Amino acid sequence: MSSLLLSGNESIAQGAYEAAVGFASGYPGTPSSEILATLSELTGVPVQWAPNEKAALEAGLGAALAGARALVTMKHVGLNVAADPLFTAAYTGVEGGLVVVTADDPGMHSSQNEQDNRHYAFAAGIPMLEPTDSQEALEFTRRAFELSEQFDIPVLVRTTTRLSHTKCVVDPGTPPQLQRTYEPTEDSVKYVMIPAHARQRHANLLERISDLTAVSNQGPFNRIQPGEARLGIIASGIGYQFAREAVPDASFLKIGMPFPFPTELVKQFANSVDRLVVFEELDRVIEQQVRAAGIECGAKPDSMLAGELSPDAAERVILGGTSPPSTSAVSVPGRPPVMCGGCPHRAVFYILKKLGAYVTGDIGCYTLSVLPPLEILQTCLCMGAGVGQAHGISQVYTGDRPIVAVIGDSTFVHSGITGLINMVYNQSSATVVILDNRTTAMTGGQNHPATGLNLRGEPAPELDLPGLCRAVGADQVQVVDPYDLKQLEQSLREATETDQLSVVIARRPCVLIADKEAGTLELDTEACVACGMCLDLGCPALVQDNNTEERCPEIHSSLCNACGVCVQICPRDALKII
Amino acid sequence: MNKRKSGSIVLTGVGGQGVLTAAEIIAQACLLEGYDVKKSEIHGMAQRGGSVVSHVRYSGVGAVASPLPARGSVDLLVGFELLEAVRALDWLAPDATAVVNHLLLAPPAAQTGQICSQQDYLTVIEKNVNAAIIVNGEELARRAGNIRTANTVIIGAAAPFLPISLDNWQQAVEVSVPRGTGKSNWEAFKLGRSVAAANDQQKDDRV
Repeated sequence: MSSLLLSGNESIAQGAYEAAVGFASGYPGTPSSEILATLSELTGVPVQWAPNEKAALEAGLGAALAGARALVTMKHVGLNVAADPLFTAAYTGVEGGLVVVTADDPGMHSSQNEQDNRHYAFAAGIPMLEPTDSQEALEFTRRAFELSEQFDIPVLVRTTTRLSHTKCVVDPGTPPQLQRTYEPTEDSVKYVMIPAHARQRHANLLERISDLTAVSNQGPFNRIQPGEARLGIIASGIGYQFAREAVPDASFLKIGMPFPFPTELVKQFANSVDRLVVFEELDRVIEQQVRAAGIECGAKPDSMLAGELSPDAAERVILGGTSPPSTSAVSVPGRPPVMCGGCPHRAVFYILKKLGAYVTGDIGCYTLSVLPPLEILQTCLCMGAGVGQAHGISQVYTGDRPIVAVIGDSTFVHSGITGLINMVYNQSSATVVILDNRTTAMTGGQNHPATGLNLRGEPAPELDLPGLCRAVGADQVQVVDPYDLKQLEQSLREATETDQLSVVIARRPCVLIADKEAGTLELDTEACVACGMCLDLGCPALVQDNNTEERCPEIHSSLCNACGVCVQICPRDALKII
Repeated sequence: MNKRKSGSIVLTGVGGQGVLTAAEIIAQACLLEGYDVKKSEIHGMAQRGGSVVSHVRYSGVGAVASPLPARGSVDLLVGFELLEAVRALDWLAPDATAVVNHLLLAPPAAQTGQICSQQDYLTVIEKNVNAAIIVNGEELARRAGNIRTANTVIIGAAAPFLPISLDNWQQAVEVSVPRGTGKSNWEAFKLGRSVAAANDQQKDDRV
């Protein structure tokens, strides 16, 4: 097969395909989301979105228990959700190979934190492979399945945004032609983790880690690349590529398997070079292991513990020097992301602001409502947290302000439902607004249990969100169209005025998946009095240009979706959909 | 015209302008030409009308290690919007070329009055690069018959500054754009390329 230009994510999918993966599951999360979509185009085996990462990993463990090779994908914070099964799966081990991909997001391009998931490998005792480009992402994923079966343990593959979303030239292979039949394994001492069994399995895990340490020291994942003896660099992930660019002639120890740590190999490398520098992104994981082995090394300053590394950072850390001066002669205003023109979330925030609500948020496009001019969101912590926070506030706050949690449909299914059950059970007085845009929008529009379609876009049983809310005991549940401003305001008023738990489901498909509304927005400049009320929506299609004398807003037709929300706000009927 | 056997390109614009597709065209063309190539980009939140940046690095003399260039080392800026092009000037080497779309999309921050005029941004770009090619992408796209091909017009205008054959450009455009739009995109590419070439010729004549 000829060379292809593949992203790290596409390469991970290709690697799993070449390993004859028999089952795959995950929950979308930038930068991991494209792996499963790509895999579903390569193979006909089950490739599925799960409601959350824990459900995905448990399904993967089940498939592996039946002897299939299983792939489970998620973003870094998703592994927090899946951590419960992960830690004990290290004890039980697997039958078919199980590979868990954690896609970390240094620099937080699209995340609420930049935790370094290499720590999970050390904490759980699970081997981790860390590629440095797409070709390695393919090969490491393929080999991870072999490693998993050989050592009877799940294997973590860690990627980062720069790897997942960088395309490189890749030489793909072909999968073996093997027909496996699967049978669930019966081995209670290995899989039923009552304390008596778990004690045996923990001791057994330590033996497996010891065996894996030999692999770590011998290669092929950790490898010395000899160069000039005066400078030795220990690097991993994308940091390796940055360092390679900065000092191509140096000697390198490339860490492709940070756990179990290759201490013997590091000692050998340290003895072969005059000066040793560790260059790694985020936490001092490698550096601490090197120092624990009694080896002195140069390393990055504390300021580089946060954010992404870069070629410039590699030069500064390895060769010294300062960052290049900025050449921009003019100040350039920022361009933060905004909710799209016609986004069905916008009107909900507009009304909640009008009602003076205190709004707890969640993970999704709607976090953008924290920015001007809406500026309404008070919290964004983790998946599902807004629902729990709203409940907690309502239990102690005695004032008049409505307490409202907003959460997307996919996020609600992921982990909002448990918070709602808590609210029902403990008789909360807060309001939950489910922003039901019929997709997982922020990560690129993936299906989920409440869209009625599966990962492949085929019809699937549709989770009935209002029915679910009523079933867990929420009595006051309304479904409204957020484009209908009057109805929306009435529903939200009723919901927030009652002293009982209430749920409002604002249902309207995301503009990125829906057909454009009919008509074109037009402004009658004779009627417009430039009151600016429409601008309070913060719609990118309505902009006021401060460089001109013209005070009426300008319509950016290419960004307008003709949703008509601004038309309903204009007090002079100056805005119309023609 | 300066054609190198390795180089770094920075592409900038606003979410929704087709910056990532444009970067894909360049990277595919580099692959077809036989270069090692890496293309880096950021998805996710950046797509919601925010700034979008993509980097392409290619080499015909050994492998490309880092997908990101060092600041101050990029030799070609492909800007799909003026303000974003100015924001990217830090990436450029002193002898860099800029191919920039003559379009200013006011960000929401424009309501705070920080924004300068189109001409101000054009002046800054021209002052900071060795050669600036300013192209009216939307106008040329309309002339090519598909307003949505403005990004391909700009790539066409940048093509003379990259060591890639016309055949490979054509193939790269066809594999990278949405199905059924190959023809109009190729027309857009050629129109952009001819305008840039004429622009460059004029400068040569003046010398």
